[in-house]
Amino acid sequence: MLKHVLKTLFILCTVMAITACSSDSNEALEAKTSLKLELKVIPENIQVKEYKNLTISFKELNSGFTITQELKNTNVLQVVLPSGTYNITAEGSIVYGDNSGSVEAKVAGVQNGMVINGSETSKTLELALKSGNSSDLILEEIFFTGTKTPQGAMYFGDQYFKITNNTDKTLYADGMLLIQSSFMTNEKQDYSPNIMATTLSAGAIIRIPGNGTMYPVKAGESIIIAEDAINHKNFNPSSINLSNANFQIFKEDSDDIDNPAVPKMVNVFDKMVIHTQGYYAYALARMPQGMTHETLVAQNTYTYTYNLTINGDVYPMDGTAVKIPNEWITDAVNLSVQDSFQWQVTSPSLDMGWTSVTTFDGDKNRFGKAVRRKVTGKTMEGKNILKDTNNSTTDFEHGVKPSLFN
Amino acid sequence: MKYFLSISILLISFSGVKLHAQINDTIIEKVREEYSFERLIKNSITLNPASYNAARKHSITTFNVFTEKSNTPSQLQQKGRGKNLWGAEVYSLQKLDDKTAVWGNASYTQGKNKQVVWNENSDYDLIYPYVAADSVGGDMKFENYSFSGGYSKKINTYTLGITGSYQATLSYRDIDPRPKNTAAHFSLAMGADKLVFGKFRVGAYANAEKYTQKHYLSFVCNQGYPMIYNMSGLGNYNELLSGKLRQAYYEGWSYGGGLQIFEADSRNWYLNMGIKKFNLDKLLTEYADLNASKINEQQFTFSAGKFFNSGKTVWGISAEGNSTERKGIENLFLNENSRNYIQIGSVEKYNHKINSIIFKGLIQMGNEKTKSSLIPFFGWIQEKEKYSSPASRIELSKLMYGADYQWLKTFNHQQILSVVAGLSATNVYQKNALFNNSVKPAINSMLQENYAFQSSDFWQAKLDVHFHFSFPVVKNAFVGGKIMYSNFKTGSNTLLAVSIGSIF
Repeated sequence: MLKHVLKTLFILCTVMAITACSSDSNEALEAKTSLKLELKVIPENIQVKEYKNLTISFKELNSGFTITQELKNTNVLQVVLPSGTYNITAEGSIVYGDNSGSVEAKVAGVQNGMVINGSETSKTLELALKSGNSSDLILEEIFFTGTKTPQGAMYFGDQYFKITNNTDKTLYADGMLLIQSSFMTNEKQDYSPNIMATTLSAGAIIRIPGNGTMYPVKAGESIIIAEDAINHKNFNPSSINLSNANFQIFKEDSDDIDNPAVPKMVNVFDKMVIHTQGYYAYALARMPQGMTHETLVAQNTYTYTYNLTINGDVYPMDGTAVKIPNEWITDAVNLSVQDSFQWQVTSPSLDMGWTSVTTFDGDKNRFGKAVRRKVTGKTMEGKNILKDTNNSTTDFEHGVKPSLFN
Repeated sequence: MKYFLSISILLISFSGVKLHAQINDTIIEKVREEYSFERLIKNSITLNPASYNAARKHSITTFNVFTEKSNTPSQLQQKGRGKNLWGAEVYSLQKLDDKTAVWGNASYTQGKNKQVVWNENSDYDLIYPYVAADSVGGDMKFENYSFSGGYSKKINTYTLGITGSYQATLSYRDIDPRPKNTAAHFSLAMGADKLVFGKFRVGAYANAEKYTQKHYLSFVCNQGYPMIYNMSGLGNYNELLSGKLRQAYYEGWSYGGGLQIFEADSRNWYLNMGIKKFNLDKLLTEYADLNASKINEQQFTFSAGKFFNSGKTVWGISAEGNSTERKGIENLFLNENSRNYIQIGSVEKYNHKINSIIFKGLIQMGNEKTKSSLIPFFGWIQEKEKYSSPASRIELSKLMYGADYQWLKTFNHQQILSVVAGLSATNVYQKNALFNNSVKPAINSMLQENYAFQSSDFWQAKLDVHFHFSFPVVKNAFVGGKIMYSNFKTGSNTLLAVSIGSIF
């Protein structure tokens, strides 16, 4: 009898023990890091008088966690964040100058892939002066995907760039450089030397011909640089007629189409092959007075190196590009594909963001879509005012019907 | 498949050795023992291989071929909307003499899991929540082989026992997205028990298991493909690793053991307590075996029972409890460049606790010709699933009650009929859920649908009929059918199974 009672008690005790365990709520502590972020304006010779306001946005790449912090009258941020790898963007305005006067200017900075871990850490984020609204020609639209024929085949010849005068004065397109970056936005490597803060590394450059006054572009007007300036509707009914384009891209030693009525872009460096998924940055630049493109290539060509890691094996690689100083660049746009984007290939002072037409690599629905700058209003004459804050993420519409398609 | 036939023949020939010594009545006793509710309740003691042999009085060999068809519109999306399968199984326990026993089992199953979505892996219950998932999914075909064997020997007052088993699973799909999963499961258990004071036995056992799963995903059609998510629990996923992941390798180890004490002769009272630890790593083979996540699971189990036998009637009560806690740890990465990911930290974000206890009563009456058994049961289950940030959780408390009734009738000419009817109801008396609002709409609707199923009250009815008859050559053959119906707020699940086989 006693044994029986003892056994029953034993069983009851075990039952209680198990139910008691369940009321514990032992939460695992999340790894958090105390971050001290100092925002510094570069180049260092700029004397900052006041950091008026700064907005800093964080995005953690593993979890997608985002947070925004505001700073007033200081450039040091103290914040506690969950540990991880962060993309940080900062925008704001400062007052700088010297004894002679003060200037208020907008600044912006971008840092991708910043590791924030440990119990506390200090980091620096560089801010560059944002060039104000461009006073030169800008890229209004890039149509790079090509189209699909009614039979479903891919068709490329109808790619084009639309370059617009977003100012109120007549500008001349003569001599304008159209540049394709050397690095790709879906392939992040540690390229050495790392000159991206001050220089755009060009992989292909073409130049608008002319002696300086041959190709005027009135305020609000645009010019089209076409891959092939022909009536593509003859070959692909789903395409457009580009035979009235202002310029055409003609590659001499390839089997390229030539429309004798359309001026050819001058090939300055390498061949411009417009990638149908984007993956490059495109920029417009003006060489300094007196420089020829031959001199540019002769003086500014450089070799970069990087290590390619595949499955743990390291292969040293190299490549050639042309240095284009950021000061020459009037506009730059980073293009990519949402799921494949790794990094911007220009300095954040040229372009803080990036644009795309599609979500994933190989999307067959990308054909016939372009990126187009947003319109913020109209001038007195009824011409469009285009958005240009040097941030392609917010300045462009991602994946819309190209303007030449109706 | 090639080993299945040879091992089945080996097992059947084992029993063939003994066939000539059997009398027809023994077959009836074996069949009754096979279906005995009393034996089934007390079966938890056999976790210890040393205690396996004495659970049955008779050697037995069973062979059956079965087919099963089920529709489960109320189920987790990751587990699919039903199964169609067929299979064959052979089992044998041979008491070579009064000190030694061997036993073995071989089975083969083939079929398909219908409409599995948000899970491109196999063995979801083992590897959750770290599965590769997408919104397309589809039917998953599978093939399973399993073999196991055991041996026990009595030495004076001690009994020693050992069992080992191997299971291989292949699951795949023939249309995009095309997963191919190969899983293998090895386990080994050893135990001993000792007769104490001539009255009861004290036993201890230890077991170890190794589990691996290779996962490949491919797409043939280049019209585009859905985003493949690297899931980490309750709809959350790692953004850096999601997108184009095509391969993963899961490797896990589990260790466990237990203690037991039970009445030596008929196991009329028993207490069994066990503990098991399971660790599983998910490695990304496309990125030089990067460790993406880790599971640590701990499980406590206990079972206890007390039975009384007055000759004509057997009655008693048993309790079974289980407390499981699964912790999930994710690693954080930096994409140094497109092909090289570096681990920069790790954080424990996932936690799943399940506590359950079920009390079963047993009333068994009757004689050799007709036996009736009733098992009324009552249980309580509490489940808490949490993801720390962004905060997500599911909390459920359930009460379950019902009864199973068996009627076992022996006719003339060795014909035996077993009819089992069961009815149960589950009431979710407390439920609570919180999901991360910023997940993609497709993931959110998956979470809502899964939660609607998990938090739904339901009732279940089942009927299981087996009819045994004598048959030339195999001595005893049977046909069986089972039908099960479960009614949820989210839809009704049905299961139909048919089997034919033999016991000898």
